[in-house]
Amino acid sequence: MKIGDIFERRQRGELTFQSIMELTLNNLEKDELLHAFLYKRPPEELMKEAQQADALWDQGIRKPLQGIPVAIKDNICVEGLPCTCGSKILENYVAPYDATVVKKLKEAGAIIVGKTNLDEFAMGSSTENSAFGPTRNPLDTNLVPGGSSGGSAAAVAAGMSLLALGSDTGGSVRQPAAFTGIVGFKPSYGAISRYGLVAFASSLDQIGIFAANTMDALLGAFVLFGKDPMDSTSTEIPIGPEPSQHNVRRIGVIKELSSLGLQPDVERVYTQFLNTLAKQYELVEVSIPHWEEALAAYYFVAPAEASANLARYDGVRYGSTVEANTYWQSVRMARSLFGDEVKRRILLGTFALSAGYKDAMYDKAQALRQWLIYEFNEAFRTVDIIVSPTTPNLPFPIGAVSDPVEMYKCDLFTIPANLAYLPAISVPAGFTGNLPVGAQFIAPRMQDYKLLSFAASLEVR
Amino acid sequence: MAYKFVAGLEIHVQLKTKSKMFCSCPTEGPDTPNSRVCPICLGHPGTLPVINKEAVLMTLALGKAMNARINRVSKFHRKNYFYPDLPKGYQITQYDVPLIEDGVFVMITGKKVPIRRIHLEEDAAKSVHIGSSGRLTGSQQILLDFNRSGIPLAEIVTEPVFESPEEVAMFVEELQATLRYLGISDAMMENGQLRCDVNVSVEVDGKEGTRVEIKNMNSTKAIRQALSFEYERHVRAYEAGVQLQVETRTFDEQSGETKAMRRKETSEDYRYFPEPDLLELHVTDELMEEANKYNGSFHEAYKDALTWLGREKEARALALNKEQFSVFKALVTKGGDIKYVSRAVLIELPNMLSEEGKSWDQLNESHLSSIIDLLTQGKITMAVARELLWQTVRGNDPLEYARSHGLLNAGATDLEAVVADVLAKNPDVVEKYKKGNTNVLSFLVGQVMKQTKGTAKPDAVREVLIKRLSE
Repeated sequence: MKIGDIFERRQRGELTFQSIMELTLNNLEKDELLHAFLYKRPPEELMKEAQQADALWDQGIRKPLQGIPVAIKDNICVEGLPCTCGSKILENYVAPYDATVVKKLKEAGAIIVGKTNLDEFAMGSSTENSAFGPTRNPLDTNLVPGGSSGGSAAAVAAGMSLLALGSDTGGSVRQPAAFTGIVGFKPSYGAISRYGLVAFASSLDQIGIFAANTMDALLGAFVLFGKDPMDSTSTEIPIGPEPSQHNVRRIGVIKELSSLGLQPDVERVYTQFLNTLAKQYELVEVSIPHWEEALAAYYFVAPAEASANLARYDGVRYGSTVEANTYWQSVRMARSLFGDEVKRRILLGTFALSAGYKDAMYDKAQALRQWLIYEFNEAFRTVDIIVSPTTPNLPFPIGAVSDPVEMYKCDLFTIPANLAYLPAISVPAGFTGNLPVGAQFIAPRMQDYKLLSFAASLEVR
Repeated sequence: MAYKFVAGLEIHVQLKTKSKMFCSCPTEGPDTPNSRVCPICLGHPGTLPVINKEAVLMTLALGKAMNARINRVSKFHRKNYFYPDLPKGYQITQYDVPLIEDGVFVMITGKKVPIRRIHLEEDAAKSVHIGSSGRLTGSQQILLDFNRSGIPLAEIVTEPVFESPEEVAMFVEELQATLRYLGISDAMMENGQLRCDVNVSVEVDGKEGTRVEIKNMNSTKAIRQALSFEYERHVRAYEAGVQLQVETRTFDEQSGETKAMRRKETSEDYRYFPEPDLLELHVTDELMEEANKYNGSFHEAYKDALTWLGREKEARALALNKEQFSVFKALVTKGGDIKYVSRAVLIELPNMLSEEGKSWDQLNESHLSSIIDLLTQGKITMAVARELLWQTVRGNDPLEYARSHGLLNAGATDLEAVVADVLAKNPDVVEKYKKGNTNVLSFLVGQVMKQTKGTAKPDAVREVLIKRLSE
C-alpha cells in the first residue's frame, strides 16, 4: 500500500495509524530471524505515537508523513537512541542530538521504529561487516540483503517500516534496494543535509531513501530535501510531493557496460527491461569512457576521506573507552576495536594521502573524478536520463564472497553517480526465479524531481 | 667571526568573535571547564563545520590593515594528527590557498616587515598535564577543557626579517596594538590570546645558521629574554664549534632559559587534503565592504600621538595603549591643553589607576574633561587637580567634591592674610630664613598651600613669601 493510499483510506475511516502500527509490529516479529534492526523502540511507545497521530488527524491536523513508521540506518543520529554505526567502537554511544533528517521526519509526523543494521561505518556491500552480525534478505534468508544499508532495505522489504533512511557513498542505498526488490533513491549531492549522518566519505556520502515504490520515495524526498544551515555543502533542489511532467524522451544506455561482466541472469532480465523501455522511449548509446576507472578512483578518494573522518574515534571523549596507561596506548586499544574492512580502508586512505604517494593516488583520483563529471555532462547533452543495471550480480549467500575486491565490484555501476554528485535511483526491473534485479536511472545534477517523476511514471504504467 | 641574529614569526591570534569558528558556542563566558561546548566542537560523530562569517571579516580587516592580497577564493584543508586536545583527529585550517597573502607591516621605526600569509583555523582544546614535566609524555593525567576547542585563530606568518630580539618584541607590541585598535582581538599573551612562535637562527659571516623554534613566551618581556638567551647560546656554540640541533625549544620563565622540547628530525606528514565538509570560501565585494567596520588604526593613533607629544618614543608608548590613548584623545578633542592632558594622562592617572586596581575604561571621561577644563582656565592648581583626579579614579564626582571642599577659587584667596598668618605661627622658621637658610622657604610654601587647601598657585605664594620675609 502506498503512503498516499494510507492517507486516503484513513480519511475514509477504513484504517487507523494504530492499525498500520499493529501491522508493522507484527512484521517486526520477523526481525528475530532477519536482524534488520540493531535497536527497536519499545512497542508501547510506538503504539502511543500512532495513537497520537490518530488523535491529531481527528483534530484535522495533516502532516506529510503522519503516523508513518520509518526506520533509520544506525549511522544517522536520533537524540537519545544508540548510534553504533555497526561498530564495537561506538557500541555504547548514545547520540546527543537529532540529525537534520530526523528533525524533519519528526516534524513531518513520522514515527521512528528503530535503528537498522549496516556494514561497519557503511563500509561494505552485504551488511556482513556489522560488528553485531549480518542481516538476512527477506526474499531468501540465506542471502545477503546487500549493503551497506542492508538493514534499512530489509526493513522496508519485510514491511517493518514504510520508509527507511540509508546512506549511499558508493551505492549503499541502491544496491541493497536492488537485492531486496524495492526502490532506493540517492539524491544529488547536497540535496539532503548530512548533518547527523556519521561521515564515511564526506564528498560522496548522501542520505538516501528506501521505499516500496517511487511515489513513497518522492514523498520522503519532499520532506527531507532542502538547504540546511548546519551543512555548508547542502543546496536547495526543487522537489514536489507528487510527480510532475518529466519530459524524458531519450534514455542513454552506456556503451562501456557491455564489457563489464554482468551475471547472465542479470543481463537477461535487464535486456527485457530495456526492451520494454524501448517501446516508449528512444534508447541511445552514450559513452562514459572512464566508468570502470571510477571504481579505482573511488577506492582512493573514499578511504582517504574516511581515514580522517574516523580519526576522532580515539576512545577519549565518547563511545567505547578503554583502560590504558597512556594516551597513545588508549588510542591503539580503542582503534583495535575497528573491524577488518574499516582498518583496511583507513590504512589505504592514510597511504593514499601520505607524502610521496598523494600525487599518484589521491590527486590522480580527484583528476579522474573531474573527467568523469565532464563525461557525464557530455552524455547528458544527448540524453535526458541514463540507465544501467544497479548491480552486476544477484544477491549472494551469506559468507559466499570473502575477497574484498570481489565485494567492491558489487558497486561498479553505482559508484559513478556518487563521484559525479548525480541523483540516481534503483527500481525493480524484474525477477529471475525469486530473486530481484534492479535497474538504475541516473539524471543530471539537481534534476532529482525529473528523475523521481520519470521513475514513478514507469510504475503507473 | 661576525654573527647576525635572524628571526621569523608564526603568530596565532584568537579572534574576538561572539561564537566559535565552526559552531555557535560562545567564545566567552564562565571559565568552568567544558561549559561552552556542543557536539560540533567536541567532534561528535555526524557533526559538520559551518564557517563563522565574523571571523572571516576580522581576518579580512587585518589583511587590509597590512595592505595584503586578499584571495577572493580560498580553501580549507584538514591537517591530520592525533593528540588528546584535537577532538576530530584533524584540525581544519588553510593550506595552499590562505585567505590573506603578501602583506606588509610597517613598524614605527620605519622597518617594513613582509607578511607571508594570514590564514584562518580553529583552536584546539586546552590540556592541563597533571604530574611530571607539564608535557604529554610522562604526565600522570591529562585534563581537557574544550571551551577553547574551536575558537577562531588567525595565523600570521612573517618573513624571517627580524634582526634583534628587541625588534621582534617591538613588532609583537605593535601587532598587539593593531589587533586591539581594529577590535578583532584582545591579543593578551599571558592568557594565550596571542601566541608567538619564533624561528631563530644566527648567521655566521653571512652563512645561514641552524634554525630553532622557540615556543611558550607569555609576554613581550619573555620574548626579549628568550631570544637574547637563544642568540647567546648559538654564538657560544659556534665559538666552541659545537653542533646545534634543529629542534623546538620552550622558554622557561623561572630560569630565563630556553630548553629543548622535541627534535625535528623529520618533518611530520600531516596528510593535508581539502576539507570536503566546506565549500571554497568566496570573498564577495559585499564581504570586503562589510569588513571595513573593523577600521581602528594603531598607525593613525601613533600619528596623532606624535602631533601632540612631539617625541617618537612617548608617542609610540601612548599609542600602544589603546585605552590610555583613547582617554588622551577624548580630552584633547574637547579642547584640553596638551600640557595638562599629558600631565594627567601620562603621569598622574597611570599610578592612580594601578594603585586603585582600576582600568582606563572605568574612567568617566566627562569628569576628566572638566578637571582639565578647570586647569586650562586657571581655576584650579595642579595640586587641586591631582586631588580631583584621585576622586574621579575612585568613582566620585570631582566637580561636586571641589565645590563642597571649596577648591574652585585658585588664586582667589587672600594670600597676604594667609602668608601673614603662617609667618606669625612659625617665628623660628622665619628666624632661620633671615639667618640665610633659604631652604626653609619650601616649608613655608607648603604651610601656605596647606592652609589654602591647594587652591593657591605655588609661584604666587613663593613671591608673596619672599616679599614679606625681606621686609
